[in-house]
Parts: sequence; C-alpha cells; structure tokens
Amino acid sequence: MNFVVSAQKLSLGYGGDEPIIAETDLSINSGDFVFITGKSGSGKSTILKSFYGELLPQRGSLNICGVNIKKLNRVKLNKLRRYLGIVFQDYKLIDSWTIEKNIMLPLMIGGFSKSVCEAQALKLLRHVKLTHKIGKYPLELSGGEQQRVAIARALAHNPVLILADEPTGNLDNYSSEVIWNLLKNAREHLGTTVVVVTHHIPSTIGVDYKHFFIDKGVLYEVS
Amino acid sequence: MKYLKNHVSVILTLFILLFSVQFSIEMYKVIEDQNQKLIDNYSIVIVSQKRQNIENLRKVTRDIVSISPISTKTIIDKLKSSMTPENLSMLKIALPYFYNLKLNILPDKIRLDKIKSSLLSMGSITKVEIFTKTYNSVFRVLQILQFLTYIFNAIIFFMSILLLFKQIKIWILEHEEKIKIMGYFGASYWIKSAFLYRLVFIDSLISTVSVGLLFFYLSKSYYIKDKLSVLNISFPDFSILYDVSTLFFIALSLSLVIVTIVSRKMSR
Repeated sequence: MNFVVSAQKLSLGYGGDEPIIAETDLSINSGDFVFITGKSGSGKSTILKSFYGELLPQRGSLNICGVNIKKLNRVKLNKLRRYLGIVFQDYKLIDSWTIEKNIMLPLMIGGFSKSVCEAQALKLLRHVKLTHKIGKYPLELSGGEQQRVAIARALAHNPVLILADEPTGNLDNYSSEVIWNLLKNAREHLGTTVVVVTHHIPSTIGVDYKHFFIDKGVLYEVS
Repeated sequence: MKYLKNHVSVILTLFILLFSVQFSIEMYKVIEDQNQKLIDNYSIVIVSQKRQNIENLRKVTRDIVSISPISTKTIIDKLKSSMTPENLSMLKIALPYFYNLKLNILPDKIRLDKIKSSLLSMGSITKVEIFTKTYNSVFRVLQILQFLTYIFNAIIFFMSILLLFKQIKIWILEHEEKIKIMGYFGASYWIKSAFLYRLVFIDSLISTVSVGLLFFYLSKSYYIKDKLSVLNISFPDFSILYDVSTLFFIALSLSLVIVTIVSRKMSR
C-alpha cells in the first residue's frame, strides 16, 4: 500500500508537557480524502502541524510522503514542504503581495519561470472565480475570497498532499461550496491526497472519505 | 516615496557610516598633503669642515634625500667694506661649508635627535641645526588632529554598525509573517531572505550616491575652497569612479554581512 501519511505510536505535544495526541497509529493512502474532527482543543490542528513539520513528534514515528519527519533537517524539510499544499484557517496570505503573486508563491519557490507562474495563477483564479479581483491585495477581499485565494495557492504546484485546517471555518455558503468543489476536483482529477481538519463534515460533500475522530488525545477511525 | 519612508533609517545610517569613512579618507589626504608640505619646507642645516655629498651623508642616515650648499657670498659681501682684501681671502679659506639637507620623512623629535647625533658622529660636521621647536609644534598639532578625527569617526562607524544591526532586525520582524508563510511552502533561506538582500543593495546604492554627491559638491565648492585656502589647506580631489565605488563596496559588504548574521540568527 502506498501511504502518504503513516504514523506509529505517535505522541504530540508542546515542550515537555503532557502529550495532546498520545500513542496514535494512523495511515492515509495516496488519493484519500480524509476528515479529522473533534472538539475544540482536542488536537486537530496539532496533528496537522505535525504533518508539515511545524511540530515534531515527542515519541513514535511519523512518515510523510515516505520520509521520517523526525529525521529531517531544515533543508530537507523545505524540500518536503514543496510537495505539500497547506490551507490555514486564517488564510496566511502575504498582505503586501497581490492575490496573483500570492498564488504564484509555491511556483516561484519551485523555480518555475515567470510566464508559467502567471499562466497557472490566472488558471486558478478562474477556478476560484476571482478573475475580477486581479491586481487586488488580500486585505481588499472578503474572508471567503481570501480563503479561495489560499486554496488556489495550495493547489498551484499540484501538491501530493493538501492539508487544510478549518478551510471553511467562518465562510459563507457560496465560498464554502467553491472550496469543497476545488478540493474534490484536486482529488478526482489529480489524485491529490486531501486531509481536512474541521468541526463538522458537510452533509453535501458528495465524495468517499475517511473520517478520523479525536477524543481525549486518541485518534479513532470512524467507519 | 513610500520606499524612502520605510527605508530612510537604513539609508541615513549608511549615509552617516559612509560619511565618516569618506571624511577619514579626506582627512588622511589633507594630513598627508600637509605632511608633504612640511617635508618640502623643512630642512636641516649643517656646518662642515669638509665638503659633503649625499653618498657620504647617507652612509650615516638613509632619511636624507638631497643636499644643497648654502652660499656664503652674502656674508662675505657684507664684510667687504670693513675688511682688507687679504683678511677677506683668509676668511674665505677659513669659513666652513654650510649645507641644507632635505629629508624624505617627517620624523618625530626622537628620530631627529638620532639623525643629529649620527651626523655629528661623522667628525667633519661641527654643527647641526634641526629647528626642533618650530617643527615640532606644527607636527604635533597635525598628529593630534588626525588622531582625534580617527577616534571620532571610529565611534561614529561603530555606532552606525550597531544601528544597522538594530534596523535589519526590525525589518526582519516586520516581515516575519511573510518569511514564515514562505517557509510553509518550502522556501529556502535564500528565497526567504532575497528581499532583504535586495533592500540593502538599493539602500547601499542610494546612500553611496548621496555621500558621493555631497563630497563631489564639497570638492568643487568655491566657498569651501575659499575657507580652506585661508588655512593653506586644499580640499583633496574626489574621484567619482574610485571613491564612489570604494564607498559602495564598503556599504554593500557591511550591510550584506549584517543581513546574513541577523537573518541566520533569527531563523534559528
């Protein structure tokens, strides 16, 4: 089986404190659409942070795209992150850049030419239905529009794995629908693995998915 | 305008730093010029029983560059009316030889005394006049002035470096979020810091051009020339090509090193 994420006896926490996630086993296959749910403060975002190397395991092992994240130095971690597309609840767009430049960021890091970056940004702006906002800065956009830009940025370099932390947290129905459709399309057309941390799974998601639930520091797979 | 507003502190700090460097260089040139003038105007007078030449004298001290005899004709002409021709002829034979000696350096009092004793040790030289008093006062003033300028500029230079460190740190903190976001998408250190290097390059260029223009203006200003000529000092030539490129090299290398140190330290 080709695992994009696999963890054995994974414990996660901050500093020397008690682990937030304890002794958890987890495996996510290539092309899976995964929801991780749980109460506030249960450790949903913590587990996602560990997937992109922002938080290292206290104990156990965690492999992302086949590499043990614990053994990565800064340079290797940067290389791994180029295969990931991250969507944050608070968007994390660069305010001093236009929305198209924000979308181009992963491509610029990947060393693509300016024309390729621009063409891809334009294509994604069409997908997220924001072509009329070209040349605008993130702070000139509504929350929903900013999150659509963030999704476009996460998809720009056709990542192997998309990690989305509450991507539709406080968004209107229209923006939420656009975002879910984009994530579904990425999985269906590009075979991208999608991991979404959320409070609740939308009833109209219309896609086969795996569901993990965190309770008292333990991750359960909900069948 | 917005760029200037954001970067005026770095440009200003670099400007002060470069000004102190260029001022030290100009001061050095002025002192050197004054030194040369002193050397040119300064000479040692010796009285010798024998004829002297430069080779002989250089055997005892290498600092002598030229020797010129001082004519005794004026003294003899003055005595013509009060002396018989016979006595005058005898005086001419008995008169020692007088020489002016030029040096290649501007030695201090100790060195001058050493030169004096070396010359006297030759035996044939009976008197050496080194004019220590006049010479020493001018030389000391110049040395003190040079020393004070260097100390003052060194303090400015050091303070500017500290200010640059602080300012670059502020820049990084201002852009911390942007650097972090880039990191989430796997940007290397060089990609994350590229904008910092670009900023210091432009700021170095702006401050170098400003300092260059200021010194170019000063070197051409009639007002400055007039004021300095009263003190018998000429403003050294300012070379657009050499001086400006030296300043740019200093500004750029210093700011690049500071950016590298600060950003490496903060990214740990």
